[in-house]
Amino acid sequence: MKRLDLFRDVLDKQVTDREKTKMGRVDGLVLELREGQPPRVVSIEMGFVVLARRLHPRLADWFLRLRRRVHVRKQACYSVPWSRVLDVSPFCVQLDVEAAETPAFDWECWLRDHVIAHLPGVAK
Amino acid sequence: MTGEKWIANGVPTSFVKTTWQSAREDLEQTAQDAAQSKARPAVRESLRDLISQTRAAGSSLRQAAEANDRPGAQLQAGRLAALRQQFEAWKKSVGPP
Amino acid sequence: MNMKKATQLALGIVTGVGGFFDIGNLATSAQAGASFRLQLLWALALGTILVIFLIEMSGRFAAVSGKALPDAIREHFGFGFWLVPFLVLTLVHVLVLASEIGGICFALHLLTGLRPAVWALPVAILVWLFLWRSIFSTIENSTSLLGLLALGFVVAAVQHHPPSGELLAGMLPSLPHHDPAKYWLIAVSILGSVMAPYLFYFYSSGAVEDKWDSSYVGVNRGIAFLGMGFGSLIAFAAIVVAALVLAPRGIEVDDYHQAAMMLTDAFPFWGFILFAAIMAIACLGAGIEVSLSMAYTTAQTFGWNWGEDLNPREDARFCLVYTGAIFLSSLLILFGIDPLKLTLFTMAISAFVLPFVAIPFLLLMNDRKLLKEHANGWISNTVAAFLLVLSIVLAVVTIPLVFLGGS
Repeated sequence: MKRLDLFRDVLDKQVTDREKTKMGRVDGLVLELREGQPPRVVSIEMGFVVLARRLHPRLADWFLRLRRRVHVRKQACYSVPWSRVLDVSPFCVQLDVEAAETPAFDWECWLRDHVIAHLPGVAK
Repeated sequence: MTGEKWIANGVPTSFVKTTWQSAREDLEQTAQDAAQSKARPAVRESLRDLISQTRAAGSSLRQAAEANDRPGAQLQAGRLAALRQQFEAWKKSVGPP
Repeated sequence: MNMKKATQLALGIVTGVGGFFDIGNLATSAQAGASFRLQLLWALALGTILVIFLIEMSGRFAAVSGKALPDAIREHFGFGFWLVPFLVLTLVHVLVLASEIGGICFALHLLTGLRPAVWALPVAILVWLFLWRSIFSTIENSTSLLGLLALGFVVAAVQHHPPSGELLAGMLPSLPHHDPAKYWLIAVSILGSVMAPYLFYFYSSGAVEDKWDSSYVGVNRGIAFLGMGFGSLIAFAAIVVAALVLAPRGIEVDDYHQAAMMLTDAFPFWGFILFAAIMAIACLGAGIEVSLSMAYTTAQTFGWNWGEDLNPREDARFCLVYTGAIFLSSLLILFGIDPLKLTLFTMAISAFVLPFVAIPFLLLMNDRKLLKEHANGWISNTVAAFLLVLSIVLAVVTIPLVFLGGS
């Protein structure tokens, strides 16, 4: 069984989808503590609120309040079950998803459809 | 230097105008600082005199440039050069701050 | 070395030379020459040597690891550690970008007589269009080739026949005869302008854009030494020209207008126009690079899709960052901030933040797991250690100097 250093090899790593499109980074990890057994990684989390929480819990609250006024994403934190991880390489954590269908791409899609599409000369 | 270069066709008239504008602002600032300084009245008087002469020469230079008056500009440029030497001499006589 | 690498090397050197000079070099060189003649050449020499090593390390890192610096630093040290350098880097990016835009606006003011603030928005749109429509290699090559115009300073410097004794004496550090606070502030600003943080961060992203791999380590070394080395000659020449044209007339550079006449002795008719052209082109090239650098840094920090070669449809957030940066920076010029004062302040701040942005980078250069046999050897590490100490000294003295020596 391959050894995985969660801090070194997973946390803050680039996350990509099936086609290796960049989606974001592993902003947080959720572990399950079990009686008499080693902890188990349940999911990886992505989102600004997760980063905010790493810095200070109050920052996360403030960010959530801000979100209530301006939000494009359906949820503040995108949680991906560990079972969806295809591969962990030195370059990225590859997920068995398609980027455009995940909340990670909500802002990206919104900008693309509401701003970029209206600007001239997009095709290169 | 601006005057000298304008005469030699090295810089456009608009440049003379804008340079004079910022130079004049600097002169005003220096005049204000001098008025508020604690130096002896004689010292402040001589500086004020230099500043007003420079103001006059600079303004005339700008007007000469706008009127395309080369001999006139030459005259003012010469005056400014002389005033600068007087200023250097004044600085030396006053000593370091 | 095969044809492709040889071409990349040649292009890289030309790009390095043409792309070296920007508003920071222009402003600090003009000030240095006008106020202290050739005495501050040593500061430029020191900065050049250090930036050569920084660029070499940055390129080597990207080529071997396949990652750009912001990407690797967040991944390696974690978000908490990276946050402070990231915020600091972003601030410096915005200030430098505003200075470059200010430079283009001032050059246009010289040529047309219209106030710089009038040009702020048109220039912002121009810079934006370059990024929106072009691909990476086109941008790099076109602006840098035009940037070779700055060699006009070298021609002018040669024409002025600088005294070789004074030149050599200037290459060694010496104490000033007057205005020590101003002297040391300009020295610090020269270092800040040459070792601009955006420069070596951008370079690593550029290497990834160009898809460099380990085989490019040699090409990278050539580009770093020859490109940066020859590029700095332009800044040297600018100091020499200022020393021989402005200083004898007692002209100090408190305003870009005073610097604008630098080339009119060597080129009586074209000198003024040439100065404006050099200023505009150098600042345009640098402005584009800084905007890209900010977009790279932000996108990589959060793991967004990035790449100048991608269609904007594919990396919307990346594009949003450079768009926002350009227009935010242009606001500073629109509101009439004095471009020279802004530039000098920015150069000092660049020197101040050097430890924050250089330390993570220098630490990574020793990671053998990442870089294998290409990790820093003893030469690079000695320079890195010196750089570390120097950057901390700069961080300590800069703010006091700004108050003592600046305006």
